[in-house]
Amino acid sequence: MHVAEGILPAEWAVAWAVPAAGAVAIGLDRLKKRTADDPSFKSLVALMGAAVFAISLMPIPVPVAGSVSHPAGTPLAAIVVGPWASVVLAGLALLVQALFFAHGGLTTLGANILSEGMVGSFVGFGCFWLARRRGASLFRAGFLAGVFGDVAVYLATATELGLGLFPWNGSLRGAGALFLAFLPTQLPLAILEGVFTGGVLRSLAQLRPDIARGLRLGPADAVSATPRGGRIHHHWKRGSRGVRVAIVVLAVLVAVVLLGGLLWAIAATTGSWVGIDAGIMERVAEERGRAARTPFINTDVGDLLLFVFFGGAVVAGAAAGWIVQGMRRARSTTSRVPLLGSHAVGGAAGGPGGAAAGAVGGPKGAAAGAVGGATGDAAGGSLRGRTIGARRWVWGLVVAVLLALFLWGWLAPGLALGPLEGAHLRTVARVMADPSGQQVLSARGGDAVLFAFTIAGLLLGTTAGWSASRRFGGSRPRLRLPHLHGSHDIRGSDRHAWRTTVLSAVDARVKLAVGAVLLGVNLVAGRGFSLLLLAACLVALLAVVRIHWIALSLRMLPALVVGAMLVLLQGLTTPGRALISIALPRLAPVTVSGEGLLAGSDLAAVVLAGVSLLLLLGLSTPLPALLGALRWYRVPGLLIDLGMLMYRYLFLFVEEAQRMRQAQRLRGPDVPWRRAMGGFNSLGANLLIRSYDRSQRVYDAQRLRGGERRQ
Amino acid sequence: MMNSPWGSSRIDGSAVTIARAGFVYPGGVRALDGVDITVRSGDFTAVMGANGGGKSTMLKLLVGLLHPTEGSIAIDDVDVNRETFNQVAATVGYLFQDPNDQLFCPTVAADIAYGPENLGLGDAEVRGRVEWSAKTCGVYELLERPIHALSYGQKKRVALAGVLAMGPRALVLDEPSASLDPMAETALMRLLKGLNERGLTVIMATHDVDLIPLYAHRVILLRGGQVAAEGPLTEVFAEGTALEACDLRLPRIAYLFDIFCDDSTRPLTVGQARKELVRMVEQGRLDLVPILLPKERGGAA
Ligand SMILES: Nc1ncnc2c1ncn2[C@@H]1O[C@H](COP(=O)(O)OP(=O)(O)OP(=O)(O)O)[C@@H](O)[C@H]1O
Ligand SMILES: [Mg+2]
Repeated sequence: MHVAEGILPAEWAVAWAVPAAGAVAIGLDRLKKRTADDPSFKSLVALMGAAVFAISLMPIPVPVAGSVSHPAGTPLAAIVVGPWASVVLAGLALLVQALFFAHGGLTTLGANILSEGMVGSFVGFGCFWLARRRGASLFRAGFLAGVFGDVAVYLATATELGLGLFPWNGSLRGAGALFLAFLPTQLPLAILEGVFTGGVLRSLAQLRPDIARGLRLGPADAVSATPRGGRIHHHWKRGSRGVRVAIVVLAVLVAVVLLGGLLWAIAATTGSWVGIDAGIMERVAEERGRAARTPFINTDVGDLLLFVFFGGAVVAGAAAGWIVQGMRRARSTTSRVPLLGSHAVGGAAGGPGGAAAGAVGGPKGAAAGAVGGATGDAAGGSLRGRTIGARRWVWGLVVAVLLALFLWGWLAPGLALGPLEGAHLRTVARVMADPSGQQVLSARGGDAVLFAFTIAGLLLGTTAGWSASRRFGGSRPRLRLPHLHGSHDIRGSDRHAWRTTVLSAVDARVKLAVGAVLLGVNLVAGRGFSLLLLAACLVALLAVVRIHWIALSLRMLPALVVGAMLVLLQGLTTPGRALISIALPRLAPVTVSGEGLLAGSDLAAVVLAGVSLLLLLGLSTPLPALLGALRWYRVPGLLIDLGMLMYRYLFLFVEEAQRMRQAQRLRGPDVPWRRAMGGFNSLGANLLIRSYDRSQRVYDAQRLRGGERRQ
Repeated sequence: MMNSPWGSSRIDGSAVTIARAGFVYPGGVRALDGVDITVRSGDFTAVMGANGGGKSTMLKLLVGLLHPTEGSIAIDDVDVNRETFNQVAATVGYLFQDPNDQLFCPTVAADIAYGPENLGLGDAEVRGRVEWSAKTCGVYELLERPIHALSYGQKKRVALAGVLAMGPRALVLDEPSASLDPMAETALMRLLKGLNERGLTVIMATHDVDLIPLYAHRVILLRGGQVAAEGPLTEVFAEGTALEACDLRLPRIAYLFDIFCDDSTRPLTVGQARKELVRMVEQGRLDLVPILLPKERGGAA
């Protein structure tokens, strides 16, 4: 949800920053009063800040959408420390993330504080208390808070983006489209966040009623009043109802999304909505005297078929990759199989799947699938008898049949032998694809292109399914505390920042001022400046900070994705010369314009330049120095203190999480999905408890050395 | 410039009085029961006992992190309670059992400076104290490092430096020597001994029976929250039975002497053992040959 540096135009950046600053100020004021009453509260807030920081950086792959996203964390924080304090710590976490990880940005800080901080905190908090008032258990109330808080954060983000990126009258529609685009990724995550939030709260109340009482979570659940031995292992049993609730909610939400999509589709065809659909674009373009030219991708000549095959192959491959990886793991958890071979087995299984998907289109699909199967089988031969065993023969048989089908279907037309040529399957497929029967099914570029598309889809899907299964599947506990890595490596960033270089020697105050000015100029100056800034920052990062280029690319990856999204978005919504036009049946054609692509790449340049500048700043200045500089700039002391504590806790948190993760790995070889989820929650709660206890002791340590006199 | 927090003068150590103190944790666990002890100014006292014996609890009561549920505690003439917390904290330095609990500043230098800064000292004085403490505890090279980039033992030393920099009049240390390497352990104990000889009161919890006889004057043995024995080191260590009742043991060298002779007093340190051996050999009371040689060569073993 982090809106990246440079995405929002200057006026919107300011517009969001004002209410955000107000909210943080109110939060700080309340926090000051509360810490005056109970000084240990500050350390709890800092702890939750570290938690929000870590949670909202947690890269959780979402197999459904094939991408990585993250939970918000603020609903939990708001429940634990109150919504206002939660806004403050979200602000801090976002600031640190912007400076150190180039997640979000300084000019978009306001927007991000508003969405993740305010909306996430208040919606989460509101849901929790409404549910508690109505007698919901801690788990359910927390679950609702997590789900709705998370979704609300993304709704808010979509609105911000819609307003910032689209012309005024199209903004609502744009926001809606963006939200719909977020949903497939975010819905499962929201549910995960809900289960996590509720689970952590429940476990907390069970494991440490004393802390829970102090947190004002409302009356303790009946469950927590009766302590039992071996409680942690029973968690799942009681939690299963929660999961049933989760599944129902998921089903409802999916239904809502589908319904929404349907409505959207209807609206788009009837053209009654104002917005991004190409009907409008075409009209605007015509008004400006530019007629759409023949698009590059033209469904009228069968391009749609390519995508159907491609998509079908991806889905089939993913399913097969997942299944086979699961089988392989179940069969042999010890023997190491070369990765290439494993992929091939995935492909082998993907074949029949692809064929099944392709069957809609005709023998070519079956054929393509079968080839995937055949190559997979050949390459997977090295695994014979080692990993797959009996089931492998079943698959082998299927593959053989499909291979025969392939030869028949593929070669038959050329040899004019097959009964399938022009016969049943083709007819069936044609009718299915186009009931009116007017469209001729033939992919542009001929069967070879179709074949290539299918194979590419299969490979992609298999790889995705395979790695998803490796990550989440079967015999390994699927949900461990995720390892922070790549672009999320807190320790790595920190190590860089502490190194001495020419840049780290410059006073942090100077760097901060120069950085802020450059970011501002970057927003308004235009492409030339942005590209220059980007180049300069990249050179400095590689040559002065000496970050490895792979690590750098990893860190820039989110920004690159955002950039690509911007290019596409602008391309789709800016009227102009049509480069690509996709005609969807019963929908107005979707058009990508050249002007839009250009405008999009301008925006992308701004984003990339801003992000690289932030990276440069963060990787050459340790956080304590930055916070010290902020203090000099008269940023409230409480905020700085919190930041310093958070910095310390962040590492305590990561250390603690890592220690628990290691201990868990050493002792927990086989955990089924359900238990793992229950375990995940109690892990989260345990992490929270351990960190809480530590924060209390740290607070004691501060007191013992006169810390109270500071305030 | 480096300043010892106490200057070069003698340290006026605090006295500690624990009067029939008891403590029950909120969960209902009774951790201390009727503890009645006086630690005089300038004493070096070891608090010993098995795991869960109540050592940490007692030390926390001394500095006011916990408050006794019965009885009372006083540092010099100041009763330890919520009102006097800051006053007591400025007098008594407390070292946590786990240094991760104690260190909260981003860097080593900042953490050591935290206490002195809060005492309202000038910048130069603070810097002097930081340097002195860091040098004394052997972490001078680490001053600019972030805390989380230290090893456990290094963190322990930094934590101690932070306590010393406040210039306390009494030190309350919870297992300060655990997890230090042998050199660091010796250095730490020598440092404590040196400060103690200048007048500082030292109270430390430990299980290390081999270490304590070298340094401590007095020993408090805790068992199940009660004082099992208390007094001068030689008295408490005279009989192994008191120690063994608390899941402790005599120093290994003492058991070695049980093999040599059954009547003599047991030495507690290597130095004492050497003296004792020399004395016995000179008096002709000890013939090592039959003890050390195997039977077939005329020995007893
Ligand atoms: N926070 C707590 N809540 C409840 N009981 C506690 C708590 N801390 C300690 N106890 C209990 O109080 C008793 C004394 O604990 P204490 O920590 O003082 O022991 P100790 O002598 O320091 O042990 P160790 O050598 O393991 O450090 C133990 O029975 C312990 O289980
Ligand atoms: Mg202890």
